[in-house]
Amino acid sequence: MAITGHLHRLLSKDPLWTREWRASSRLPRTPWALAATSLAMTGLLFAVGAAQSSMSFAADIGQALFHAYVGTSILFVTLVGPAIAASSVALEREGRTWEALVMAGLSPSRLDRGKFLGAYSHLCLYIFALIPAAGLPLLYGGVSHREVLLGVTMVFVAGALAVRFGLLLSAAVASTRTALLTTVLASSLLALGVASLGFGVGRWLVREVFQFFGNSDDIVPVFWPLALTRAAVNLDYVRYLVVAPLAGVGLAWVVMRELTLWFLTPPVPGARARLRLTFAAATPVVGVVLGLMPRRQPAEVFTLLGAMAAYAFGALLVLGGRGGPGSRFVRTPGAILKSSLLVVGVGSLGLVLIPIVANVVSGIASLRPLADGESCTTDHSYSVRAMLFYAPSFLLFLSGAYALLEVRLPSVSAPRVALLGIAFAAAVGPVVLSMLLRLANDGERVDAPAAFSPFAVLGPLNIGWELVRAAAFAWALVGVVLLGVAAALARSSAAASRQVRTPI
Amino acid sequence: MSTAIRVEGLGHRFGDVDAIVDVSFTVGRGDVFGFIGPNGAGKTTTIRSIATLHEPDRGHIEVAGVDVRARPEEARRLLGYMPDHAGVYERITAGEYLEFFAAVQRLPPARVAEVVELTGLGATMDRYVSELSKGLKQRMQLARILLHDPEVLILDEPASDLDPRARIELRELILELRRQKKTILLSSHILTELSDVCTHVGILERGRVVAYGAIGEIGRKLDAATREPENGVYRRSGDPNARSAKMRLIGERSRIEAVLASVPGIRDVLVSNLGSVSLRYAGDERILSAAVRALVLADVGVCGVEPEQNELERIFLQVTRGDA
Repeated sequence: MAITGHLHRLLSKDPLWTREWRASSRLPRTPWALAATSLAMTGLLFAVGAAQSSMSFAADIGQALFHAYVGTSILFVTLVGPAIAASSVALEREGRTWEALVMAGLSPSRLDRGKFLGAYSHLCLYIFALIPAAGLPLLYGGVSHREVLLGVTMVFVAGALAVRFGLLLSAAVASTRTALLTTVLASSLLALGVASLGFGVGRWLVREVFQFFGNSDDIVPVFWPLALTRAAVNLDYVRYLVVAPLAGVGLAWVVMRELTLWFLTPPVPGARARLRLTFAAATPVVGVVLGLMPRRQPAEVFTLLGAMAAYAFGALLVLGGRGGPGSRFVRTPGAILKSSLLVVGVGSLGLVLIPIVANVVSGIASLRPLADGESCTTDHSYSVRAMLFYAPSFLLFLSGAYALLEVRLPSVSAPRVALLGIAFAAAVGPVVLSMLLRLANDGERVDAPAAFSPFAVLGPLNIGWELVRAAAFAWALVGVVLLGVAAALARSSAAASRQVRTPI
Repeated sequence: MSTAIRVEGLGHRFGDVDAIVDVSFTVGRGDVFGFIGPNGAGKTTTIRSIATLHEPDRGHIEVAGVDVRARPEEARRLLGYMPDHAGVYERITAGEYLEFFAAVQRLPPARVAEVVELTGLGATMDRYVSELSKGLKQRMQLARILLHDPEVLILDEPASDLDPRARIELRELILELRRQKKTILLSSHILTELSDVCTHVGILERGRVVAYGAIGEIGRKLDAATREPENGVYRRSGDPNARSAKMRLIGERSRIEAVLASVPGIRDVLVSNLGSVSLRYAGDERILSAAVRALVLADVGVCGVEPEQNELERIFLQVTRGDA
């Protein structure tokens, strides 16, 4: 009764949460879906248990059940969380209830909070349905109750991030159908990423991490709860198992929340001020997180390239481009030039700052001996020089591509999606290609000039200065051409509109 | 009289299309202002701009002295806006719906009871919104926008899709709000209904206001602008369409035709076998009065006279070109 009363008081403080909670709990399919979820998880654990029953030690079965439970639960919330949240804001817009909320004076932050709590509490119903199965590994041993609790905590945290991600997509797009399609696609990719973290990159990463602890246990794919309870507490423990995960989750949370608020804010002057501030504050944090990452190739290269591409993409969205969904779209040659200068100037500074911070953090904190011929000072110097030279060129290219996309494409989200693809393809694509070529050439190394290759300071790809200069020049040239084309198109569009404007 | 809504030089373009070109008008406090125009004339863009939901390219909007573009949050507190085809939350009850919006606006629960009383929704409070008729949903929406007791109400096509009973009930509700001195900006395609409740109108065509003011005043201005004496008969210059009316008369057909033909201003007379007479005339209602007098003096029984178009319809047809 006390819990119910407390929940009621909590709900009454947020009317939007109350309404969302009522609506979702009254869905006729909810109890059936919950029962099916619980049954499916039990069935899966039964199958895993049966498959592992030939093992000689019960502890191995317990650990297999634990990995199956936590891993599957995280995959489940990664897929279902965004889907639950995806329709929340988009449905309000499409269902014509959005205006009523805006006119009622609901601020973007209240709207975000209510929508998040509504979707997350709905997802929590499913997580609660999964929790009884978490006790099964304890029957066999191999994992402790603390590890199981940490595993369940991971599921709740992953669920919160998944809902936040779905809410962001929901706020960014105009229709429910687009929101659901985008979410299904994005959450599937996310789930693949999670799976690869568990079975691919993660397996490699956890071995690397455990080498620091002098422990060769193969505790994958769900390694964080086990590492947290079993590794010796030292500086690496704090860096890799406490600070890095917290910083990563916190950063992802803040960035996604701020972007959601931005999309929910009407396109009035100053609407992007808060987002820009957050973006600026997040820049050194990205550097700190990257500085805390284990220094091993090729994961570090991928991580850094991905972070750089994401940062460049973010710089364009926050510093340039349109003011928000449904905003007035007036793209003039002057506006294109202004936002491009802002992106190239401020974005380049950020791209320089991130590796500097990463180098400083890893240089100060690293206990790992450096590789032959590698020194933090050398890396630092190389990266800063390379980036000062290279970052503006690449951002100029991205800015030109974005300006052209914005002028040509009528929708708000299409240029952003296209730009994200371009940024990642340019940044990571050549590295993937070089790895494939390496495989094809029987392990012989093939270098490829990825957009952010010179920034991969923690494990440079041996790219010479000549190639950096040539690549920078090429990016800048293409960028200038694209900007010129975009400006010309904008000018002709403005001229055409002046003709239409003749008196009726 | 002080001004509740002031719109000056409003303009907006969507892509290559001018949605509104130059919209300017004022609405006095306590007026019920009918906003009329063909489809695509720019009504909804104008209304959404006033309601702070759309940022126009240019122009100035004030609601009760508050600059809407500069201080939208403050303007929203003064406004109640009901969009056309507004959505509702289906899986909650009508009571929960109103309580939700009251809570969002941090209003006391007693306020819900007050608007429920005003809108006559008491019997539906425990019913799910999905079970309500369109008319009840519209009344619930109206109750929602009344929760914070706004000075100005903006209703965009409130009677669309409603059955006759629901329309009558909605009209009565609007009249009640008019009695409470609320300023109402009402957009509708149903001109007869607007003429029942509106004190003033604004007519929009192709993104411009072509006429606005009190209905009678616009009618008089139009009459004055279009009268041209010609052989003692008033004719509408440049417009072959005269006003029309119907009469129910008792008498010989030939006599009726002869009497009506002799009245100055009467253009066409069509007498049916059932005693119904359709006539067209150019000028104001004094011509109808003269026709009735002539018929009575000629010993023709006059059972009824009614204009075929009401005043607002006449004004609308006269000032718009119908090519939006």
